[in-house]
Amino acid sequence: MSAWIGETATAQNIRFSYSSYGTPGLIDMPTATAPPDAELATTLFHFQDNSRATLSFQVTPRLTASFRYSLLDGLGGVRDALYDRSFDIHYVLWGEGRLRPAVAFGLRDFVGTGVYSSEYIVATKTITPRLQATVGIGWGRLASNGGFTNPLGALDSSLKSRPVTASSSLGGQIESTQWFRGDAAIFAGLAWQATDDLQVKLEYSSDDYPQEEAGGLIDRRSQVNLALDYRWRDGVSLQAFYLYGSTFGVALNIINNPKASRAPSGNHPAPFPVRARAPGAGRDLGWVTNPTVQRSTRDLLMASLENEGIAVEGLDLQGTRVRINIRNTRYGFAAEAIGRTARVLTRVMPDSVETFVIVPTDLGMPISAVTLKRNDIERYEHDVDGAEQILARAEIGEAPLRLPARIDADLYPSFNWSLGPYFRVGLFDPDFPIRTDYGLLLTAEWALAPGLYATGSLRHRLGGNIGDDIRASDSVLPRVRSDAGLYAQEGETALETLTLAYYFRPGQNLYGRVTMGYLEAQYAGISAELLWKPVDSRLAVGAELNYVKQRDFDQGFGLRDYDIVTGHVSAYWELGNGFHAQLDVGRYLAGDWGATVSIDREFRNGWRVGAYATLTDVSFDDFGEGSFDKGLRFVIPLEPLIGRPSRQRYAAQIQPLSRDGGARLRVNGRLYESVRAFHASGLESSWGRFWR
Amino acid sequence: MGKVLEMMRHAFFMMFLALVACGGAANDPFVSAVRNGVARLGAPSTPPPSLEEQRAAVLQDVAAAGGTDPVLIVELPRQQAVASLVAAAENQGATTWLDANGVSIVTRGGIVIATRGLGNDVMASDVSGSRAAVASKSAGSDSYARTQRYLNGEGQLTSLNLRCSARRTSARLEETCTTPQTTITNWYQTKSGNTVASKQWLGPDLGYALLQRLR
Repeated sequence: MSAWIGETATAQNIRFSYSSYGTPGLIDMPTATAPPDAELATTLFHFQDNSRATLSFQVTPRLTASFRYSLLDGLGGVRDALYDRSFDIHYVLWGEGRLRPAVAFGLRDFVGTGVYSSEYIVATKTITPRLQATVGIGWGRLASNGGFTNPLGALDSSLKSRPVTASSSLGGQIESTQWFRGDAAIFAGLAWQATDDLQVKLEYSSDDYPQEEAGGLIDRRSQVNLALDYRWRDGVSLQAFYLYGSTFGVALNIINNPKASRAPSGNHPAPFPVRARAPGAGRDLGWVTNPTVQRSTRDLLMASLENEGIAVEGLDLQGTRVRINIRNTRYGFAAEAIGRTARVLTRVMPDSVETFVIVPTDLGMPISAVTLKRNDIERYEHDVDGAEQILARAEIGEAPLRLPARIDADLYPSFNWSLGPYFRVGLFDPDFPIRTDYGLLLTAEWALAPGLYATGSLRHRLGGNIGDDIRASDSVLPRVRSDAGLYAQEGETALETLTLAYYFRPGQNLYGRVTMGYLEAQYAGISAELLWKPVDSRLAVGAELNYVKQRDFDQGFGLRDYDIVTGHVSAYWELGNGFHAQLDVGRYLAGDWGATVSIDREFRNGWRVGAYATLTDVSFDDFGEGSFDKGLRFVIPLEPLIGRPSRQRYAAQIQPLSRDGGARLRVNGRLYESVRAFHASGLESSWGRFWR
Repeated sequence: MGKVLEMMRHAFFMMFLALVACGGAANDPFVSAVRNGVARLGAPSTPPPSLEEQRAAVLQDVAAAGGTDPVLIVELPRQQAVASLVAAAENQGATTWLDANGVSIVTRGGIVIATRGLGNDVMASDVSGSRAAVASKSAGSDSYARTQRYLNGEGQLTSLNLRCSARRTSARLEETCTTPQTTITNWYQTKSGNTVASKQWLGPDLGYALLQRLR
C-alpha cells in the first residue's frame, strides 16, 4: 500500500514479534519493543491443555493494551476447566539509542482473577542488525522461578511481600496493592532474524507455571524455551514453540492495522467534472422569472444527484444563491458527498448563481450548512492543494432550521424493506466459548415525513446454539440482562423492533429524538433524547430519558412485569489526536445509579477501537463474577475494506461478562453519531475526499 | 472435529441465505460478495484478453464510432487494462477525460495531473516543472520538483515529492524522477506542440500508464 509515502525508510532488520501472551515479547517473557502504532493483533496460542486468545491494540506508539481469554483445562472451575479473562498493559518508557537499550514496563492480568498476575521492567538492545538481546526483572508470576528478595524493598520494606487478595474469587478488580511487590526474578532472551521471514527466539523464563504444574498440566524440566516465528504472509504469522523442556506449542498471529485501507481512494466512478462558466456569463437573471427554466433546472439537478447517490430533500433557488438540503445515501465520508454535490451544482445551476449552501441532512434533520463560492469551485478543481484551498474558503456553520421547499415528491412517504441473512455470535460461555445463531432477518422502514419513521425488524432463527443448554441466571439483582439466554431460546421467530421514531431540531445547536414501541429485543417503551452540539464544538452534551417494560421471552407483543425509568446525562468530548471520551451518568436498567466512562481511538477512515467501564452503586458482590461491567468496542467501516463507497459500519462489542449491573437500554438512532459526522470536525477529517 | 464441521455447515448455510436475499439486502456487501463469487464459479474460465487484443478492440470501437472529437487511449500494463476516453470538460487549462466505466483522467499540457476511479488514484499534482521541460526546445533541463498527491490508508492527502530532470532525444523527451524509494522514467512525444504519446508513472500502486492521443 501507500504507507511508505512521507515516511523515511528505517533499517528495521528484526521484525516485531508477539509472545505466547499475544503481547510484545519472546515466548512467555516480554521485550521492550512495540508493534507499529494502531496495530490490532489477534493471537491464538495453544500448548497441551492450555489455550490463550489475545487481542492486542497499540493504543499509542508506546502503549499496548491487551485483552485475553484463556482456557486452562484441568484447573478446576466449570467442567474442571478454568476460563479466565485478563487485561494487560505494556508501556515503552524510552526507545533504543545507539548505546542505550529500550526500556519498557508492563502489568499482566491487572484486572482479572489473577492467574497470570505479574509485573515487569525489561530492557532490549539490538546487538547486530539481526540479533536482539533482552533482560528484565519480573514480579508475581514472573518471579515464580529463581525469585529473590525484592530489590524495591530498599525503598519501602512493605514491598518485600506480595499480599494475597481477598477478592480474587470474583476477579475484575484492579489489584494495585500487589503491583511490584514480593519476590523478584531475572529473565533474559535473544531474538535472531534468521531470514526476512523467519525469526528464532530463545529465552530463559522466570515463570515456573505453579498452578498448571500442580494441576498436572505441564511437566517442567527446563526454564529454557525456544520459538520459531515465520511470517507466512503480510498480516499472518505462524509460531512454533518448544516449551519448558517437555512440550510443544503453536501460535497464530493475525494482524490488522486500522490505518491501512485496501483502496484508499476507492474504485467507484469518477465525479462529474466542474463546468466552468464563460467570463461575464453570470449577469443574466432572466431565468428567475421563467418557470420553464426553473423546472428544467430542478429536474436536471435531481437526476444528476440521484446518479451520485444523493437525494434532494429540499431546494431554495434564488437569483444568485442556492440552498440545497441533501441526503447522502452512498458515501462513507461526508466531504465526498459535499464535493460531488458542489460539482453537480456547477453543471446544473444557471450562471448567475454564485453561492452554494449545501445542507447535509440525516434522519430528516438539517445538520450543518457548508457555504461555498462557485468561483472557488471553478478555480481550485485542478490545483495541487485544491482541497486545502476549498476548506480554507468554505464556511461550515449551523444549518437554517427552516426547511426549504421539497421538490422530490417521491421522498415521502417512502417504503423500504429488505430480507437477508443474519448472524449472531455469543462469546465467553464456559460451556461453549463461541456460540452462533443464524437465520433470516426482515426489516422494513416507512419514512412518513422528514424525521418521522416507522420501522420494524423480524428475525427468524434457522439454526445455531446460542439458546441451547443455557445456565439459569444466578443474579441477585433484577434480571435485566442475565436472561438473554432465555430470549435467545424462546425467540425462534422474534419481533426484534417495531418503533415509531421522530427526529427534530428544537432550536439552535439542539437535536431531539422520541422513539416509542418495541425498542429492542428485551424492552419496549418510550425513549426521548435531547442533544446540544454546536457545529464547531468539540464538546457535546446530551440527555436521555426512557420508560421501559421488559418484554416476554418469545419477543412477541407481550410484556413482563418489570418496568423502570432509566436515563443518562452524557458528555461527549473530542480530546484530539483521534481520541474521544464519553461520560454517561444516570440510572441503569436494574435501577442502579452510576456512570460509564468510555475512551475510543478513532481513525479518520472511520475505524474505532475503544474500551468502556461502568461503575454503579451495585456492590461487587451483588454484581457477581467480574465485579463491574466493562468491555471493548469496535467500529469497522466497510468502505476502506471493499474499496467502494458505503455508509455501512459494523459495530461490535466484546463484553467479557454480561450481567445485570450497569446495563443500559439498546435503543436505535441515538443522535450523537449521526450529528457529528456532518459537523466541522467530521467534515474536516475527511476533507481530502472533497475532490474525490 | 465435530465443532468444525458444525461451523462449516453454518457457513454454507449463510452463503445460501445470501444468495436468496432480496429487497434492500441485495445491496448488502456481504450478500453481493457471495453472489459474485457464485457467479464466477459458474462462468467459463476464459483467460482475460491480452493488452494487444484489448488495444485492437478499443481502436476498432473508436474507429467504428467515427466522429472528430479528441480521443485518448490509455493503457495500464499493471492492471492489464485498455480504455478509450473522451474529453468531457475543460477548466483552468486542464482537460478531464472520461471513459465509459467511470474512470477519469485529467491532463494539463498532455501530462496526467489526476485520476479517478482506478483506486489509489492520483488526487492532484504539481507538474509545472515537467510542463516547462516538455514545452522547451532545449536538450535537457536542470533538476526540478514534481509533486503527486494520494489518499493514504486513513483517507488523508499525502504528497509524494519527486526530483526530476529531463533529457531530449531525437523523438521524445525523457523525464527521470527519483523518490526516496525508487526511480521512475516518463517519456513524452510531442507533435506541433501537443503531446501525442507518452508513458507516465501514476504512482507506487498504479504503476505506469501509456497514453496515446487519437485525433
